[in-house]
Amino acid sequence: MAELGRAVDVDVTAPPWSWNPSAWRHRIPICLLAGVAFGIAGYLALYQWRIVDSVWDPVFGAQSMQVLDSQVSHTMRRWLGVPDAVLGAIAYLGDAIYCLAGSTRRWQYRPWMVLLFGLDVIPLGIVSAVLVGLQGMVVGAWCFLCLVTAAISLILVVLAYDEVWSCLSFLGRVWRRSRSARVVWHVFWGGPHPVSDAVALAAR
Amino acid sequence: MWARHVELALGLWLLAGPLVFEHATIGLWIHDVAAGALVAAIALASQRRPRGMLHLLALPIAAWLVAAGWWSTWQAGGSSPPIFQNRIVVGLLLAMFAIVPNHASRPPEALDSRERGRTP
Repeated sequence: MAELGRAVDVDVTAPPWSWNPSAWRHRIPICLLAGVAFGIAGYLALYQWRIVDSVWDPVFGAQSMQVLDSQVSHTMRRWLGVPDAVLGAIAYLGDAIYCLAGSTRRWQYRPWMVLLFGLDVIPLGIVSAVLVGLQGMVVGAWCFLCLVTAAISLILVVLAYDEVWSCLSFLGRVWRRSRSARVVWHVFWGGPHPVSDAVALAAR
Repeated sequence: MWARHVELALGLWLLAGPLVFEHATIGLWIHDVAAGALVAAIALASQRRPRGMLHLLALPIAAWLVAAGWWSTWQAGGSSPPIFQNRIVVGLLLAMFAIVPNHASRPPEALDSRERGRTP
């Protein structure tokens, strides 16, 4: 709690990097890209709900609608209760929301939020990109806008991993310094602790 | 605190559900009106107590909405009317926002010192 009671510098470099991955200049592009993907997935969901009659596709034409109306898509809808594009839209919205929440030092002050953001962006993003990539083999048709969202998912992974890694690295340093699961747990949820400030800016 | 405003909007949307989706039975009306009123009340109460974690009370309601929507879909043999899809979507959105703290951008230490400063 070395910084308790006085102004906190929230724009500091996050080891092991020489930059701050929680800075807005790093996070805003992620939010914007996730917002674009949310808009695209939402548009595809509107088609699956039949609120719009067709889907714009400058490359594969009517194949997009074959993909969105495929048997695989209908099966997923029965399992999920909602069209698969709706879940995609919600996941991208989650990317944007969890990217926006938290200060520019959240890798130290709100590790749980950074890791939640990382879980939403990295594993979910990779899985959804792989699933979209397989559509040509499974369905026999391609959907241009689905491929665009898959590409955005992979770009988001690249843009987001440094903040997640700095957060994991920080928690690792807290563990090595304290050797206490209770301290790591406390710091993980954003609780102030002397060890947190002591190791935050130390590279090793 | 912006997340609480979104939760309030979601609660109001649930309240409007019976009119938007033209619920067929009184049970469906009561369910969505009660859930919407609870969500809106929690969002408003959370705004009055910014340091608390009242907003997390929206999480079980979100889980209930998603589970109720899915259960109804399964019972309907996989065909999901808009009213049930609405519950699933609102439940997922509510869960997403309910996790966000009231002052997510404020460092915990700064929050502590500010609150101490207000204490008479």
